Amino acid sequence: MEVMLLQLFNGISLSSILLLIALGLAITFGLMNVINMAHGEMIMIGAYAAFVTQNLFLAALPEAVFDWYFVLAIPVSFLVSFLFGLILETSLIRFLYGRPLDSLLATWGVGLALQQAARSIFGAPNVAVTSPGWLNGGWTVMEGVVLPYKRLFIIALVAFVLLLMYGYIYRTPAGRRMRAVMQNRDMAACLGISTRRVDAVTFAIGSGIAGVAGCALTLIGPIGPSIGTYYIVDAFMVVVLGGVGKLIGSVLGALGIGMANTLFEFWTTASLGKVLVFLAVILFLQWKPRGIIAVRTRSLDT
Amino acid sequence: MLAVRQLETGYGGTVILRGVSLDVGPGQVVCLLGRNGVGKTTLMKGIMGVLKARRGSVTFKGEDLTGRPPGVRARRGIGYVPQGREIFPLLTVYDNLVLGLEAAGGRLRTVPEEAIARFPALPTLYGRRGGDLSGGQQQQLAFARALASRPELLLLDEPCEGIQPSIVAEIREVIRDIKREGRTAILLAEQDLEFVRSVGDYFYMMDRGAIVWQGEASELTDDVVHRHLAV
Repeated sequence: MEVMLLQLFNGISLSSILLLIALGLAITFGLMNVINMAHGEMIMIGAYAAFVTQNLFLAALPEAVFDWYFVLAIPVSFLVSFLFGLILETSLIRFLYGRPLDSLLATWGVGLALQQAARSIFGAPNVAVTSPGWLNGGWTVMEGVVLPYKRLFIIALVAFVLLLMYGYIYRTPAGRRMRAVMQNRDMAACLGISTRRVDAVTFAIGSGIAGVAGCALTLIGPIGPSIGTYYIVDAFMVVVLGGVGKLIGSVLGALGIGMANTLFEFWTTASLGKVLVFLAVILFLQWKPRGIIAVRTRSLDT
Repeated sequence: MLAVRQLETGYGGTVILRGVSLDVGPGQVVCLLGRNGVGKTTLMKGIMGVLKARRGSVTFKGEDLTGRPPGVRARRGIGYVPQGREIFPLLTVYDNLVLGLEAAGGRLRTVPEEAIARFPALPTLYGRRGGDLSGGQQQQLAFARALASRPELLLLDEPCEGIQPSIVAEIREVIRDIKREGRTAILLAEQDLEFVRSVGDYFYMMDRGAIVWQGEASELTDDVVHRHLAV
């Protein structure tokens, strides 16, 4: 019983991390169809933004408030990655819409440049971010089942980010404009929508969410210049498995991969588990090439 | 009000329009006639700015809009009901309609009553997705969406194509209403001769990317029609 509960929790926890790193990509890749290989570096930038926030707190503020740095680090990470995304979109991506191979290559190059920049500024070795005291320890559900607060916090953070994204996309005029541009760019322009601004803001939001993911990753372990490359494959896998164009698809994709990964690893070994997950994803995509959630409507068929 | 001069445009490397000139006055209903594939839709897209002009100019209310993107033209007061209607398929009918306000640039907070009142069926469909409507319903929605920002010029590209007769009659009434109010001019591309005769003030006939004839309703004789429209 304990083992089952623990595995279930591990699965959900892994899913939440996968979802957090994939959500930004669900926007830039899923909605905008930009293959952004620098997405991992947006995660990295968010992680370092959290690191810098921590150091600023250490240097400038009394020790008593240090624990609260993380609360500030989340919006800071979002904003910094948002700005980087905005610059990347207006200076490069904007010229590459509809050219997937070119944008793949160009953003990969940007990713490498950003990694090197991080190496030059912060040094090549990993740096540690001290988790705030209130996230240490865990919640003892029953004997032998302790759920770490950090993991619970990440799950809550994902839920919060997801809620905000839903609110933004489906409940605000800006979200309405964004969906209109993604569905029919020409017509949106003919109605007076500034498609350029919508593109830039949408891409920047996707990048900002990647930054939040980077901030959350500092809770799990040390961070380094190439932290993004570890996660970029998983992020793409989640979005593709879930089906592009719908947030709920990414949620299901993350849950599927996270749970499968935990289960397979429990039954076999860590590396074999990963192989089995990849196999399962490949087989699933053979069966349903458009992913778990495929957008279908009468007018899209024509 | 709208003045197109020697407009030349096309898709990619292919030139479709070869020096088209055309005028629409305030409150006028100007009709664009011609067989399939002569460039009516291309001209509409050229006026709206979806296709960039290679040569020539598009002037609206004295302002040269030739190099401006579609969004600017929409905000200057040109409404567009494209061929195929181009409803956003995954947005609700209400969202589609409200997007029509974008061109008003914040001047209007809600869709004006008169834009909806002309299509009484629309409010009952608000919650449905645009892509799930029938062709006729989509046409009404596209029409209302274009009227939402109170445009001074309305571009209608084959509004009756593939639409059931009862809705064609409704659209005809709407065009007549707009004409009677005299606030909005209309450029109408249409193949249905009887339809354009019943609403039009002035007529242009297109063939192979050029204007080949123009005149008043009385001049639109069977001979002219036979020469340029008969297949």
